[in-house]
Amino acid sequence: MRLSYKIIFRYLSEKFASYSLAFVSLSCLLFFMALLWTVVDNLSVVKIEEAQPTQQESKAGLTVFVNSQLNEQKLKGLVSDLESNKLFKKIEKIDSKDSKDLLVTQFGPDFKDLIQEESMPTVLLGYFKNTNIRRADYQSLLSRLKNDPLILGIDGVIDLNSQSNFLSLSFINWIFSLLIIIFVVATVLIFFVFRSLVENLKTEAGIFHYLGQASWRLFLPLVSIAVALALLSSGAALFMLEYGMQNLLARHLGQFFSSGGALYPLSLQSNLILAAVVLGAALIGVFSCWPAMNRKYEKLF
Amino acid sequence: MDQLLVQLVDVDKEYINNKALEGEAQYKAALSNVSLRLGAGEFVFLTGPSGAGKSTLLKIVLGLLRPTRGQVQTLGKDLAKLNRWQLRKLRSSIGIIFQNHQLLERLNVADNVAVPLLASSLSRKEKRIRVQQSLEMVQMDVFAKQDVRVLSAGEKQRVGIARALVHQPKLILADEPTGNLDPVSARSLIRMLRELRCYQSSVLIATHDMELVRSFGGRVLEIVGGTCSSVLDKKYRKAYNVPQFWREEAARETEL
Repeated sequence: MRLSYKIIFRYLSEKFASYSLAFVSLSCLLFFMALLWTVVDNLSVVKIEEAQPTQQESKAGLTVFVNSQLNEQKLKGLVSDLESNKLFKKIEKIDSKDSKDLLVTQFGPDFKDLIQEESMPTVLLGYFKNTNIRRADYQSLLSRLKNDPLILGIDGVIDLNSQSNFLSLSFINWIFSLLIIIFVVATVLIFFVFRSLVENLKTEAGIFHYLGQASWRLFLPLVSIAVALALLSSGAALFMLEYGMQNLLARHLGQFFSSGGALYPLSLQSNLILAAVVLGAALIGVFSCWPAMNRKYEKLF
Repeated sequence: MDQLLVQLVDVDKEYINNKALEGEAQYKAALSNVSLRLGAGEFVFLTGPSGAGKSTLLKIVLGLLRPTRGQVQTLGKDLAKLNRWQLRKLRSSIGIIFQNHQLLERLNVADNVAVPLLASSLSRKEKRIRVQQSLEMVQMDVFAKQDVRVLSAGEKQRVGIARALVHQPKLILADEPTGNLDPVSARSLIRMLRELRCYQSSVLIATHDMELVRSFGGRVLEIVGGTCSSVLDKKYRKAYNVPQFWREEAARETEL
């Protein structure tokens, strides 16, 4: 295996310029893809004020019901956990009497007779920092709260379907098509880069074939290089977006986004999806060269 | 002949003639009715003019080509019954020497010699020892770390021989191994290959260098127009001093 890597790396060192160009092109494609993703992510928001205009302090968001049997330490832990969420400004615990009044206000006067005083749930009120929140962040918060075993239920959840979205469906479709085009271009780019490499390795492939050595021994280094190329270019593109162009974009187009001055960065999940997309493009591109690797070897006699 | 390494029985090979005009045959015969037996430790020359079918025969023995008709056994295995992975495994146990050495230009001498050991289960140390031994056999051990690009044609061919020997094959096939060499290097190379008989390795050399065949003798097979005939050493040296195809070529030249 070491020998195959030696052959490929020697070849790469000879053709360094063309592979650097492929790396730069792939980085640019991913950067463009990530930029679009950031824009879409920042334009797709949940408008808290529109849904809850009567809430106190104008930014209060969610009511969280917690089991009253929960000991003090666990409750404190839960509150501090919620407070650490970047979306919340503060978490307020309502005492048992106020909590009953609140529940009566929310669920009607009949509720008072339904629940015993001692089994009354502890109520936590979560106040949001901003009036607009990214949909992705809001949804991930809701799913985190719904999956917490200490939480009995949540109220004040905004029905996302009821809100008019800033982004029209046709715009989203357009962006989505553009992302697909970028994905295809990245795949084709990788394919041609590695196809030319395979073409140049015809003699090596022929020698391996005649000497009874498996062609995957030569092919495996190519797959490793494709993976490395994809990961390096995604790293470079996402880094560039995060620390360079983010500020430029925010400075010039920030007024159009919910966050005002600065743009929300891409979430870790979005970053991983983008890197996976480029990795997928690289793997499809390189594996498309596999038939050529097996067929296009040089006839040695 | 106690152990048969290669056996061909009534082998035909036809290629599809893509350039055939209307009325012309669609198939071109490369080999017809070739039978051949090669035992352990034999040293055999396969002679014939260019295009006679020498390389086709070698490819069939290696399992790189399937015969149109007939039966082929290499190292005791019926090639018709082997799939491509088994054929590849079979090839990896045969030593192959090419006309123009076919070394991997991006590797050094030792790495080139180690290529047939890629799939072997030997440890790294054992592989290194085998490579060293093979290079010593062809007197190229001092060049082990040398880039193959700086070697002369003769040195490259010796490295090619070391590569063919490194996995200690029972059968070595050489296709025009002296094609790019001067007469002195060519003779020393053939002498080297003939010495492999001591290791019970059989060597089949395809060549059209009749001077070499004449000076080394041994068992000679002649392929002309796809048919193979055996020429006994003694008979060859006297009656077949000039083989059939040479006589025909000479006659044509005289006519011209």
